[in-house]
Amino acid sequence: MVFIPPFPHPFETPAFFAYFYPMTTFLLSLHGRIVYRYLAELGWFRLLLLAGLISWLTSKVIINFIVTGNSGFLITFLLVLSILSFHLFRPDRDFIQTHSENPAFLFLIEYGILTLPFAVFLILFRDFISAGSLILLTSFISFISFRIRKKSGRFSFSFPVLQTAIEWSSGLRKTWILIILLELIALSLGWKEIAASPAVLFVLMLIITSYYTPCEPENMILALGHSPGSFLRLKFRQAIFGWISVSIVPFLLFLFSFPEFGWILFSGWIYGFLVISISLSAKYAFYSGSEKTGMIRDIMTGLVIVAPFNIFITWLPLVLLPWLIRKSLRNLDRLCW
Amino acid sequence: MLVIDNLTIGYDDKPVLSGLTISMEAGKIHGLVGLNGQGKTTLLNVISGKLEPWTGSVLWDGKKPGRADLALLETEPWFYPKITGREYLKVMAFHNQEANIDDWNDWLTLPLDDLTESYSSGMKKKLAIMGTFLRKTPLVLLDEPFNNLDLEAVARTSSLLTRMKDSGRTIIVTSHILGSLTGICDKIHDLYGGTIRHSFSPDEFDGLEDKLVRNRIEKAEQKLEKLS
Repeated sequence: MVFIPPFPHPFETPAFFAYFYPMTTFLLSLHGRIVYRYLAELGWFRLLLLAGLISWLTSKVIINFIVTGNSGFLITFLLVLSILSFHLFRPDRDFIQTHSENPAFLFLIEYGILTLPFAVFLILFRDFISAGSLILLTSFISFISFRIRKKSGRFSFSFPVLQTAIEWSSGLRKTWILIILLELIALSLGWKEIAASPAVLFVLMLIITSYYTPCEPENMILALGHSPGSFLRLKFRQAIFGWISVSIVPFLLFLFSFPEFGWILFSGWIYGFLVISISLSAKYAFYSGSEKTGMIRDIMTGLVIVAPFNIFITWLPLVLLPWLIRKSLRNLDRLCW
Repeated sequence: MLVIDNLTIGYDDKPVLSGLTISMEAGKIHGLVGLNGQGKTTLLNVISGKLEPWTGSVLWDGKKPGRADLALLETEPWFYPKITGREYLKVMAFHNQEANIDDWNDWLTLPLDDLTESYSSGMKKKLAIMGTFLRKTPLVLLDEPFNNLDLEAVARTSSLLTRMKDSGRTIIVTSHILGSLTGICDKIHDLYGGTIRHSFSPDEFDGLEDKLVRNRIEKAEQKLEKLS
């Protein structure tokens, strides 16, 4: 039995714009139902836990950025890039453009709802330029009507990772929101907002270019005669053994060389393990059809578990590597003299 | 009447359709056949306005077809994962207030109150076909509507197409199954080499498969003979 959330039919709502754009209003109400169903699938306990965690971390991100870093523009920049990426690739673009009287109006409302809390925070902290830019740029995105198509030939990006890494790029594509959120959290807690922005840009570039893969693995599932669930379990095993065999040697070397950082390295190792699990579950659950593989549950649970590890892994290159370089130079200095 | 004049379009500077010109009479069912990659889907996408032609024009009753003029059924229809079949049909029938979704569902008997993500590919195709016709547009474009359907659903869909034609709609349908077209179409157009090579009337439908592919198969067999 499907849960029907309490969103009224627009014709029963005396909303001002429902009069002018009834179909657009209906689609907005439908999107509300979809979000509600995703959240209901997550379960109330996990939802409360996640909402609390995200609220705390988001407020920390914003306060950290604005009060200490004075870099509200980075929030604007990241949000605008995320929304632009979502807008250009959202799967329901054709559907909305076919059925809505005014697609730009629908996008404007949706993106407005998404960015409103950030815009309010920016205004509260008197960063009016960033707030204004956020509102203007988000509004501008809503009016972009072209769509990047695989076959258009007009727009093309080259994926910096080998084309054979289909699974990796596909997993990245499907978990981009998670990755951006984690990067934001990590950067905020790491107090490294400016220094780390090239890293975030690189991650964003990877995410955007990962939309161009030579093929999708749906046919692989069918060709191998697996059910999506069994294929997912098989892929889990392969990926996890792959991760362990690739990472165990450098992990042990680092551990013996720098035992004082053992706990950070161990966290990073577990983090990689979890990211692979989440990416894979997201990807194959996407192709699961009627078979339930619990995609949302896995991702959200993973988010809660992975968040603290991500903080450490972001600290690792930012804090550990400069320290290592300094130490090496000092040793080199001693050796030379 | 749908008039396509000197249409050229392709991908990555490589034309798929070049100089295609055809007029399709309104109120009829037009079948489009052709080998893989000849541009059947591309042609439907251009007519629907999803793709802009490089040159040429597509006119419906003398003007560019708009959103209210046509409905397109794609080969792989897309659905929101978390909406029910009924909600999907409500979107499709939004401007067709007299349509009763349950009456329409008597035709294909889908579990409309279940989420579409739990549907099989055949059920999704049925839902999309129903949605396409519920939009009540004068021009209907169907790209491979018989794919994934069981035998009974193919028969029911064929009969629906005939009824829709009788109610005055113009239908353009592509299919790899020639038998499913010869029973319902008023014209079958053979798309080959980027243009319409020949249009067949019902009196030419007998032995159409031979006419369409025999010559090519014979040539291929001759080549194969040389190789062996």
